[in-house]
Amino acid sequence: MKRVLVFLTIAMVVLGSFVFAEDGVYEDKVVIGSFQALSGPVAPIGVSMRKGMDAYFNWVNNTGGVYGRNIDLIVVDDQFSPSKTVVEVRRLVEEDKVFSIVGGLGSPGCLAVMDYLNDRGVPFVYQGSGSSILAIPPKEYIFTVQPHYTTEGQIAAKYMMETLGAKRVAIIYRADDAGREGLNSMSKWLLDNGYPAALVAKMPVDPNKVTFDSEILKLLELGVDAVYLLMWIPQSPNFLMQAQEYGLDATLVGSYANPDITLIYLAGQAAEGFQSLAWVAADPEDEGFLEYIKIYQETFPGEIPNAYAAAGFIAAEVFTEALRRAGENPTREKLVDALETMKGWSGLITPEITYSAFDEEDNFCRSGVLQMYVMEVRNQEWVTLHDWISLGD
Amino acid sequence: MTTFLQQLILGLREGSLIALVALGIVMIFKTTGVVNFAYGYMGMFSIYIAYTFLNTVGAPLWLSVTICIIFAFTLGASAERGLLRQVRHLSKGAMLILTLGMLMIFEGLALQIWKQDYRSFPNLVSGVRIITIGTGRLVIRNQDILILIVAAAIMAGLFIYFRYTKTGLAIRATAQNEDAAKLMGIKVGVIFALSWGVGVSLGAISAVLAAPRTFIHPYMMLPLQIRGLTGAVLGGFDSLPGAVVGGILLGVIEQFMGAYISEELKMALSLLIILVVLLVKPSGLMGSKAIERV
Repeated sequence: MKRVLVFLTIAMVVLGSFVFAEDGVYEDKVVIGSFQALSGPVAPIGVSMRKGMDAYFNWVNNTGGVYGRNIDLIVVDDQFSPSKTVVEVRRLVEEDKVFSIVGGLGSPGCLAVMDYLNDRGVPFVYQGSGSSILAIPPKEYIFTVQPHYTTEGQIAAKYMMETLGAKRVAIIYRADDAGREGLNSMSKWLLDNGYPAALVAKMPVDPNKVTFDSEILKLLELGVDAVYLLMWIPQSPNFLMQAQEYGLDATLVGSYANPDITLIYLAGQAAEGFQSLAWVAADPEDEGFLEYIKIYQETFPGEIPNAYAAAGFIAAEVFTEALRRAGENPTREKLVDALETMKGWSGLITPEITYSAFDEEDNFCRSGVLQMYVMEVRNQEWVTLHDWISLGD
Repeated sequence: MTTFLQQLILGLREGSLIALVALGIVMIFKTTGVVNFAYGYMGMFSIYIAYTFLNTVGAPLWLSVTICIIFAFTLGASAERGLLRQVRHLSKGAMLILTLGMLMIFEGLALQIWKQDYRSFPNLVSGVRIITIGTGRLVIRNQDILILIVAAAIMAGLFIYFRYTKTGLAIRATAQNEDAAKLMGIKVGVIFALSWGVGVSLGAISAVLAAPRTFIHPYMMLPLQIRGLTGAVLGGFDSLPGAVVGGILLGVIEQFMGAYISEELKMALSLLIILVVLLVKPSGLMGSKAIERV
């Protein structure tokens, strides 16, 4: 009888650990995964984003973890190639048994693994992508944080027409899905708001293009007041330098990936007066921002984080907050429920984000940030030019 | 009319850069029979030297560029003498693999030394010129004029060099028949090293001219190398004038496709035209019919 009891106890413990344990959740750690371009042409972005995540998770782990568990981040290198993303993410989920994917970089990769993760019920928190396909229609396990180009295109149009008072505007966009999304949303906003003839030029450019002579000469010929530049580093500083060479004096308003010191470093004086939409709460006077710099420099002493590191940091902040809310015994379902409790939550540099219970009809239940503000380069520094703008204002 | 001229000038500027790259690749191929896959990466590595002298040492721009070109020549000649010559007796395939290995080494070294970051490099000359033609106007950057002049001067210089100097004749002789050249007393080893040195120098010059637009980073020369290879194939892979014609033509075609048909389909349409040309004339516009397989 005694033997039977011992056997049953052992069996229950062993079986219990199989039945109740969630993938990636251990007694002392929670294992999560991420995919970044750590080599190849996009590596400067991927490496920076990883550093932002590493810095935050190191800080969390050094201050006791979440309910005593460390967060163990496995980052795979997909080189910004969606075919590699698919292979690497499957490995993370099926072999490494990660609890969640956090902060994947790039629209192509994020879109390539979106359905797989959603179908398997693996929460995917924060995508380094502005594609609205991730959020609209909503998917139960996909939580976007940064604004998508459907939001940004409309806010850009609204800012240029209502705040700058532009009469003739143009858009230069990357010839890919993200660029076309921005173009369509901007065109729609202008049409819906009584400016059907304001958009005088729509110019797609190859994502690898480095010469913009034709586009700038065309803008000079058309005499535009403002240009929405849906591109980012290194293309945007390049465009600014070429615009300065040709003497283009229209107001240039960039996409949200631009407010970064790298842009000023590369474009130099040509960056002066360049405006850009932004969504990261990056006020150097703010206590949260100073804390963010301090945390970052604990892992990378003396280094100033760039915009991509900030993105990684925010991905880590949002996930950690959700994990905390999920309680002492987290499961994927509990993590999803915890994310849904975030209503206007903001972190050290994460602006207000709101999620709600999953509803296929509600296009906002998985969209994080829905407002943006405007920054400008003044005396070789990014300064805030205009307060938060949302489409509802 | 001015729009057409404007696009033509921009196309010639792009074409000149492509032609310089194509010329370097073909020069190495013609004399040593190997396609140097590390070509762009050697140019990239050389411009990092210019960047270091300019920004870390504080040397003037002209001196930094000169050092960069001398470095590239030495790099090319040393790579041939120290590496490729050692496997030359094995096969051309072995040499090809070696160039792929060199590509990885230069990429890795650049990443280790200078990291992934983008770095800016100045135009050699600044400012624009505005030329009024009737009611229209042409706007031309001084840097673009310089690119056209440098490319034309190099092409003319090489033409004169190959045509009227003993070493030039020796290079041509070696390219045509290595064994016969040896029998004529030509030191083919020196010719090989020289071709690699000059070829890689052309890569460095292309990098210097392109860098203000591409910025300096470990992968900066990859698109230009691909276009250079395409231009070389279009012109005829074993013909130096063909490389020039193919490169310039590719630049002009791309520019006109982008300006008049579709920016999004520019690359696809340009490649389609090249495909048609190669279907009609498989050896390229100016290539000889029998091309040795590597």
